Amino acid sequence: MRILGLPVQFVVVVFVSLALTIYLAGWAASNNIEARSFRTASMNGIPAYQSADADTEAETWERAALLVCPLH
Amino acid sequence: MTTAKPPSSFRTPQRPRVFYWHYAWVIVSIIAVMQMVGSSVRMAFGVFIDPLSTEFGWSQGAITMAYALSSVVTALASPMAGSLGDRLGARKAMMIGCTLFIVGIVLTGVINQVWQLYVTFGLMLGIAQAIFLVPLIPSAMTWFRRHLGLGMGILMAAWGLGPALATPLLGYMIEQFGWKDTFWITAVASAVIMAALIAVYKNKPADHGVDPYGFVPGDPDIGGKRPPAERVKQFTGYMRRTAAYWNLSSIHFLGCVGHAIILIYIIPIAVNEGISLVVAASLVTAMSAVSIITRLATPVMCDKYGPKAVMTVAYLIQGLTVIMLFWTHDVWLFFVFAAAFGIGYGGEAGGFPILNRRYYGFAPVGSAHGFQMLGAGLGMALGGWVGGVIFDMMGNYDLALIISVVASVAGAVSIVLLERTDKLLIPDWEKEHLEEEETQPAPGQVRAPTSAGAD
Repeated sequence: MRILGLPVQFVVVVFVSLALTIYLAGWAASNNIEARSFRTASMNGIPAYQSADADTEAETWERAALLVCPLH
Repeated sequence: MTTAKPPSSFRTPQRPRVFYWHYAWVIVSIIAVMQMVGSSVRMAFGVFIDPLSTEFGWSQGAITMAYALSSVVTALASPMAGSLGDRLGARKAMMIGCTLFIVGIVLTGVINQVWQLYVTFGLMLGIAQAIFLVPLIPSAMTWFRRHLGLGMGILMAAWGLGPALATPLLGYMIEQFGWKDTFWITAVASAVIMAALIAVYKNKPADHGVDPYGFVPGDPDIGGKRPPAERVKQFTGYMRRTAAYWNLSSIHFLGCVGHAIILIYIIPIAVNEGISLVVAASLVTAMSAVSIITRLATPVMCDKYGPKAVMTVAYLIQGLTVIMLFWTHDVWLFFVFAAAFGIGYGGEAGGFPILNRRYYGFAPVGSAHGFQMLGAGLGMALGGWVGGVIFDMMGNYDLALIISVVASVAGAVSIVLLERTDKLLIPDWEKEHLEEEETQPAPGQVRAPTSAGAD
């Protein structure tokens, strides 16, 4: 059985691996930004529950990871 | 699981000796040394981290990015390297790889910016290593008409020895001479060794005036000449239409994901259980030592019992032993795990050359081998990365261990689903090649095989 001319086993492995990589990268980027926001908020005396409002610039790879991952 | 019978071309009217003196063993030795020398610097990269960090003030993350880049570049360059070997022959490919390797090492010894490290070590040495790794195995295969497993087993075992020998040697040299001089001394020594080895290397048995190892009277004569480049390109196209060409790469990818997670994170896992760093590091040594035995034995067993069965068992051992780590807390149990895991880990890669021989016969398989090495390299990169990300997010490695188990078991399932190995996927390759030589078709006319392999 083939999908797009390629064996289904190969397509499944590629798809699952890409999905895992994209999800983990998005997860890592999201956590990094959240951690930096919390640190910035703490330094500026902003309460923890408002740390998301702290101005935190995302790195290029973090922006890319969040853009690609539909779940983050 | 039934044992696959070898194709009829492998059965002979008389039983050849298993082991006897032949120039093929010289070729195997040359390739083993070339692999050890060519991979030594990259495998021992860890010893350079502190000296570079001390001299230039670079972070460890910035320095190890060069290693990660080198691994990815090697993976991506593997298919190209395989095609290079098919078209030019392994000897010319070695000359190119050797030149790039030595220039890369010399330039690495004069860097003073981190981006220069990425170019010399990451890019140049990454490409050089692809050219070393990929064409040599298919070239070695042409020297074995029979008992391919024996030759491949020795090569696989040597591949495991390289890092074990190189790391302490390079560490000692850095202490004595400093990192810059170590790179230059390595470059000069590598140049001398590689030049000597290339001088006596022969691409095919016919180049040395002998028949392949295991050849007996009555075996089909495959001509002894490298097929024309156009024919190689055509055959590669037919290979890409077989399911095995793609599935073998994804299987290698899964196997490497499975063991990369363990090889890299077993040390912090053990340290988290209260084991000292020195003892934890010796777990990797124990795994490598056990794996040398199965690296040697697996190709031989694949020849005897069938590659699908043997590789399925190796993948299952590699995957299921990882489950032990969920309840392993004591030192002695970690070493039991290391030994058990090492059995599967050592057997993971050994069957691929045998599968290539069973599926594609004596045709040029550099492209297929290169595509499999691409899968392997990407698997090592992904496996090496996911453990760190998961630990940063969750504070433990449980999910990473689950991914390791699932990857290895999925690889085993995928191996079971491969085509049978008792018939060639693209038969009549040799017959078509010989007929082309005898009848000399008109320029521009290519004779197609009588049947193309399909799933």
